[in-house]
Amino acid sequence: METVTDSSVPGFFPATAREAALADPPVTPDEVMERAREGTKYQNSLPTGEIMRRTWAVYYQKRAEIETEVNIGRLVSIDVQSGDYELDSDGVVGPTILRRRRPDAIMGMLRVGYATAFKKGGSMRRLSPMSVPEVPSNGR
Amino acid sequence: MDVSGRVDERLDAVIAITLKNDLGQTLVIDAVIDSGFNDALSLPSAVIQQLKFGALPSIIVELADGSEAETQTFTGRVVWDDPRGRIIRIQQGEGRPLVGMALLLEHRVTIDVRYDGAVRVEPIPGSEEDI
Repeated sequence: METVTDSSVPGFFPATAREAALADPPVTPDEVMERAREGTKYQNSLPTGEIMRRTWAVYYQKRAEIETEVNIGRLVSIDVQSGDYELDSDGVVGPTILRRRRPDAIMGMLRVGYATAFKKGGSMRRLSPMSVPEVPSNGR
Repeated sequence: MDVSGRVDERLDAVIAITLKNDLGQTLVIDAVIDSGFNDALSLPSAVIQQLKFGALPSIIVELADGSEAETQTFTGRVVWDDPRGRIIRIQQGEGRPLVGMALLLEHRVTIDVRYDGAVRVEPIPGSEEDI
């Protein structure tokens, strides 16, 4: 089988292009955008905290089948209603394929074997403008 | 493609990123290169709503102090080399927009770390991005 490493696939970065080509039929950039747009109302139907609570519940139910050695470090998108899930490496193609099967999915995503899916540094938040009379309780 | 920027007064390495949606709208934002951030892009909710980006799954992120935050994610396009744009993952975050390591994969980042120093992002020679 031909290995797909063509970075010239329009509309994707190389890592996403490789994942997209493995799907049957392959995922296109337009499909990613369209399914995300159509899925927004379902994603917004539950608070984020509730989605993640239910996502963890499904994960622990199915942990033995999801958390295999080969899957450690991959991303798993989970529909909290059906318990259906899809694995990928970049967090774009997996959710798109899961939404093909489950158009009304409400999804949480975890990194297999980890407590969080991503990490993020901080940035220096500016104080409120001086025109705002209120002084924060800590005096800053 | 090559992107250039500057080190600003907060010692942030800032580059301009052009975002695009399916309605033909584009928006140029300043974003801070953050090597401690391993997703692609972090944007305030106001920008995400303005461009009507569609939703990807919710996630949990570890912050710099070790705490965890639940957040929504989205997908949009960033104009990188092709004017049609390329698909990226976007996390909602109310601080300054951040460019993370996932967006910089296969690129070389050079920063002259001084105030107003030059910032340059270019494909690693010979990589898949070096086209």
